[in-house]
Amino acid sequence: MKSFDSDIKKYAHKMRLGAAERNELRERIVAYMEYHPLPHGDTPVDTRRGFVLPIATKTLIARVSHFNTKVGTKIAAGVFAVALLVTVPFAAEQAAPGDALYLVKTRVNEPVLAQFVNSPYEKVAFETTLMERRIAEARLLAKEGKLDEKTEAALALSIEGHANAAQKGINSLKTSDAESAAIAEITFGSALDVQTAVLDNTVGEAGEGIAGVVREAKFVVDAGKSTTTPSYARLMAHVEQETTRAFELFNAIKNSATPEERANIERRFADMQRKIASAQEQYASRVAQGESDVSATSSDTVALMTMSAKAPSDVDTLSATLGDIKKLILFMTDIDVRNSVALDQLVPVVPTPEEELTMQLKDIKARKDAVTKHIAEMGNAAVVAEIEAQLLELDSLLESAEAARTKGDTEAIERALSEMYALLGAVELRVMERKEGTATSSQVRL
Amino acid sequence: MAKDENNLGSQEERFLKAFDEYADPLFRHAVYRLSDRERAIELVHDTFTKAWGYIRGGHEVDAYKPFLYKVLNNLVIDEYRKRKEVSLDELLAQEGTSEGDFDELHGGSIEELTFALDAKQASELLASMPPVYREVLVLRFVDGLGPKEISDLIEETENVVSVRLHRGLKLLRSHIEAAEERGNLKRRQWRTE
Repeated sequence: MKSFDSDIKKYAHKMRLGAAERNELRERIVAYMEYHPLPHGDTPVDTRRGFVLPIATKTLIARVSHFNTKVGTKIAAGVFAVALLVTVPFAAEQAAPGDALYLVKTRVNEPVLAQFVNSPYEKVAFETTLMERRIAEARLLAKEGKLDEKTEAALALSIEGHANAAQKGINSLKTSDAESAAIAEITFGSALDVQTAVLDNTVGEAGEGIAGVVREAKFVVDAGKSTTTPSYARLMAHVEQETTRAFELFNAIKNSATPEERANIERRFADMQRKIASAQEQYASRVAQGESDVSATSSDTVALMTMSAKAPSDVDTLSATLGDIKKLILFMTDIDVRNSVALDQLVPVVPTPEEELTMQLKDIKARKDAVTKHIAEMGNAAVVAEIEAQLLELDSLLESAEAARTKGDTEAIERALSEMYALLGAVELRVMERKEGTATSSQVRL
Repeated sequence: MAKDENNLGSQEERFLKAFDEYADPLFRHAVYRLSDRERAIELVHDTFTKAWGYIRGGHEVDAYKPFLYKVLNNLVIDEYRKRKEVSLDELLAQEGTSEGDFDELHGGSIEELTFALDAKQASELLASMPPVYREVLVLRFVDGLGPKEISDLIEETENVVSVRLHRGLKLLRSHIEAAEERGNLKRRQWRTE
């Protein structure tokens, strides 16, 4: 046994990570640790406020310190300088106003990132990101009780500046590329919706001044909304791109999410898929109807795809879906948003046809029960008998609706629902009349 | 559970020490379980990132070794599920034997079963074993864990672990014999050619 045990181990132990593989793996894990630092100051912090010395730098310094020769010292100095150039801007990304590295973040990192912005559309997205960053910083400081009046005013000014710049970018896009302007508006509007919801839910945390600035920006966006709507093809491309991104994000976080969070997010994905499918159907039917109009053109599909005059329902559905995906992405990527707002507040659940039917049937039953309760208090036996007969008819319609539901006969369900609502309306009116005009319809329902 | 790391040093240092100590054993375990070197590296990476996520969540890891093996084992099981390999239930159903039947344990001890086995061949043929047996065989012979540790890790009783080890070893032996037989047959064919 001992011999087999030790022999098999001997052979198995030949299987090991190569030096390069091992180093790469270690670096990836260290990078992960830096991107996901321990909360509550478990990460070693230098005496300078907020300056977090990354693990990679510490490891590097420790390794370099083994050199005792002059060459070693020079190499160490060189490596340290390079490490500093790389790690300082990286560490600065975590800084908040008042931190030593905050100026590196806003005066070095962000202007450098701005150089990579290549189009007016990207400029709007970039300004939106900067606005979100400033709001997040304000919330962070407020949570730690460090948001003084001066900092709040400076941050509010900065947020206003980025919001104005984004809005200016949208306005300028409207003249050159109206479709992109409409899509940028959806993105910017979604970000403002999320931030407004977070600030509303954390009243007093991030300062009223900042909440006011964000609300005003939202008002400006809503007031100046484009009259042009994006084409189906452009919207669909954006929706697909953002859905893929959202799925990837979800896959990355799903193992650390609670079962409830997972179910909530999965439900939103299912809702969005339904909306997209519905938009596709509407678009297909629009193409079929418009065939004769566009057949004269050389590229009928292109003509329809770039249609941008009046918003057809498929475009409205896709615009709303794009906004929802953006909000879902913000919800998944920003822990502050997750902690402050319920997903339902940002992206409400859309009932499936089945759920909608259940709700309608429940509503009908509740209204019928209210009527039954009222007729019990009525004195006129003839009227009571008349209403009871109508309620029996309602019962029979409810049964047929349930039977049609089991069979999946949509038409029969629709018919039964329409008859039930008509009958219920008549019964409620009758009850109201009997209550000598004192009761209102809503009271009857109660 | 006694802590296998001392409390000196930061969480990061202890975590990276655990990486230095267990990256190779975990990698070896994953390679033997999956027969895919690249995927094994990814699973070791995921094991450590998940463990870090656990620590970030405010939890403390008392003993890194069983904890990391547990995380990796779960990831390997997920990987099997993705690959849609045969489940344990299906396997048992095919064999028509319940794991509660321990009569076969009297058919020879693990020492007896491994006595005539060639370790080199066995290590090479582990990859051909069904996942349910490969799991316990790798944990026992490659990782060197005892039945109690394996039982804690895979959340089965020690008896079940012993039964699987017995069946796995018997199957391994039959694989080795079949491989030898194929080798002999080839040699005979070469001679006659």
